[in-house]
Amino acid sequence: MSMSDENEYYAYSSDEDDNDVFMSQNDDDEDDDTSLDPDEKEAMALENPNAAPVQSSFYTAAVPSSPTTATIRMMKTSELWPTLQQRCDEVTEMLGVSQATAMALLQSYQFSKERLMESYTNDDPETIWKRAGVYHRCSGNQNPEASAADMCPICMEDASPTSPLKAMPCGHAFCGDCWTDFAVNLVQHEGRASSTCPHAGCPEVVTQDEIQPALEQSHPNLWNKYQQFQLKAFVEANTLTRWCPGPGCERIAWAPTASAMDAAIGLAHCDHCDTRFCMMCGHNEPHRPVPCRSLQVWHDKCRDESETANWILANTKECPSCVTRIEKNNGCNHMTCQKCRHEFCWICMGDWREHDANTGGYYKCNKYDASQEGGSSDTDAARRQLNRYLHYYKRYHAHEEGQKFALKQLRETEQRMIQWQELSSSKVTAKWSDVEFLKVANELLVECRRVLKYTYVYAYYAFEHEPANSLTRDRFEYHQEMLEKFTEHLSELSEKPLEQMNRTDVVNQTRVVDRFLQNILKYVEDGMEEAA
Amino acid sequence: MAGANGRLVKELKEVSKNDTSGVRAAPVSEGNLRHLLATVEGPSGTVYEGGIFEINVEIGKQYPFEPPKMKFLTKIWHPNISSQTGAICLDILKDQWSPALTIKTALLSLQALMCSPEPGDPQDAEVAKMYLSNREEFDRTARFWTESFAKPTSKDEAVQRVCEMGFDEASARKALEKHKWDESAAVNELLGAI
Ligand SMILES: [Zn+2]
Ligand SMILES: [Zn+2]
Ligand SMILES: [Zn+2]
Ligand SMILES: [Zn+2]
Ligand SMILES: [Zn+2]
Ligand SMILES: [Zn+2]
Ligand SMILES: [Zn+2]
Repeated sequence: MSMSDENEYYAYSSDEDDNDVFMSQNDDDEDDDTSLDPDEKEAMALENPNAAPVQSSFYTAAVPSSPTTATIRMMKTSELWPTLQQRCDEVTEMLGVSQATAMALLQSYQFSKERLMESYTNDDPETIWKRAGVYHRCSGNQNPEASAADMCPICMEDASPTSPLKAMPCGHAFCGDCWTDFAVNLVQHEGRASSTCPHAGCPEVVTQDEIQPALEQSHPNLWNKYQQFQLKAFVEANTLTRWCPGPGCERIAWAPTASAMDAAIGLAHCDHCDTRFCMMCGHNEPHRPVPCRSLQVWHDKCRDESETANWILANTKECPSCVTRIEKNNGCNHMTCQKCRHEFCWICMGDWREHDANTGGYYKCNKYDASQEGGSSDTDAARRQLNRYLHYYKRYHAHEEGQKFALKQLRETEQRMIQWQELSSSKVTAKWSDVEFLKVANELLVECRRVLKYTYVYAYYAFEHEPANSLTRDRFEYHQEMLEKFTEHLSELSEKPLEQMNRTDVVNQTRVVDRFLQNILKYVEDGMEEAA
Repeated sequence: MAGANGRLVKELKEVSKNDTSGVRAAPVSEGNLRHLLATVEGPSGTVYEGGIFEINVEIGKQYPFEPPKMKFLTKIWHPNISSQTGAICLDILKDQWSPALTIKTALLSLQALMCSPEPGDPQDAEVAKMYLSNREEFDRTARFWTESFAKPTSKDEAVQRVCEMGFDEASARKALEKHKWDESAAVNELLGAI
């Protein structure tokens, strides 16, 4: 892991409760309330017991929350520390080694107790000790050449009764001041907990047994930081834990078992900073139906192609009829030119009338048609590849923008609800509960835009080698088309001014869109094998 | 670091001694213990024999918990040393540094590196390629560089040759030093100044 990543994960916040985590470990509940921002608190206070049941039921169906994510917990560092301690205790007990040795052994086995134990039954202990850098610590053998030293090799001062040398298990000894300087440099300047003996070329590792006496009294904050680094190594090596990717957030997602992780499809929700993320790859939002690996490849590709793609995107923002430049300022892809009233599709720039269900084949726009691009030379092939990528990228990008817009709308709706609540009095109460349906619609729109965005990444890889007449692809595109079509429609309905909005239409449409959302996810996650 | 200065004073006393080690270092200017000029004698039996190689040494704030920064000032043809910049690729000057090592041990390690290059971990790809593919040509080039850039007498001779072209000794030496003893560059500058 690179330094920049470390900084990202370990940007120390001034979060008062996380700083002394290792000193008081029983503060579990104290900030459960403070973790909510004021908006969230208000929103909770607003919860209306009389809200129409249909709204809450389709909302919970849209966001896979309670049954699945309940198994994945968000923890403060102080809560996870005992888990690491316990694992060390178990190793200490089973192997009869010190805590510090147990930590070093676990570290060399990615903190897997099982793998460590398995290795102990199969391999020669000395090999294990050497690999983990605890050979001298475990065998009790000192380096014969090291024991007779009477001068500290770091400050080059002679040892004295007032400043005796303190030796590592390997026999290499240094004075107390130099141990402190060494530990300060390690934690503060190198930003890590692991190191080998200060003696050149000695593979024995330095553990908490050496660092604690060097730091705890003189630099308590750095001693704390040292333990944070130990925990960080644990979190990063462990497949069932992951740092919350929320900016500045230091919570850790924790799954009790691998099957619990699978059951939740890796979806975690941080209750501290309200970030939803993928625990398996750390992406900062859920990315169904794309697998983590494909998403990674996609992001790399987008980085490589960004210049070309940006150029194309920047140059297609003109009305295809009168060439007036058009700013897309809402989430809907159905564009109407203010100048010539030409209606067109933002994604394919085609006439919107051809997108109508009645004119046969609504959203031809989601299908990539390679047959239109002939030629067999290498240049043709390269152009075809670029066009294929751009086809998917444009749609991915359009939904990403749509997602941002939907999120903005959601925040506005929430804001409006809060304002109405503040006006208090019984007659406006009716008004804000009236608009609850809009909040639900907006939430679903954010979700749909996000899923649609990732369906294009999914399709880009899943159908790369699929023949033109592939039934699987047809079905996938059918589901995608339906979701896209109804999302656009809901988008349009919910963007109207409140006075013109038809509540029943929106509520019904929301329910329909949710159905299509579940359909496509289910279709992909069931292996694309359902009957038509 | 506390006590680092005390250690530096001791180290400098030790490394400035005129002993048989073939390595030496002293502050560039009085009063600044953190910028040194070191010299390493080319080990006998190698293509660097007879040369005196100058090395710039900078001691950072975290010393001895970080390695001293070292760079060849004298041009040298060696797989692990850049023929352009003098940058050195040596593990103990990077991640294998230990606070129990000293400036002297680092210089001795450089001397050892001159005895046994490691072309598998090159700093200068061109030199390393020649070292592996045409050892004879490598030896010839390295010897020529030692003769041209690392010999104290070769410097006097260079000054002599530039003087013969009609320049006074002081400006000839100054121009040569500025251009790292590249004669044609020095002459060009002197000609431009006329
Ligand atoms: Zn010391
Ligand atoms: Zn040691
Ligand atoms: Zn978070
Ligand atoms: Zn993922
Ligand atoms: Zn127009
Ligand atoms: Zn529309
Ligand atoms: Zn279209």
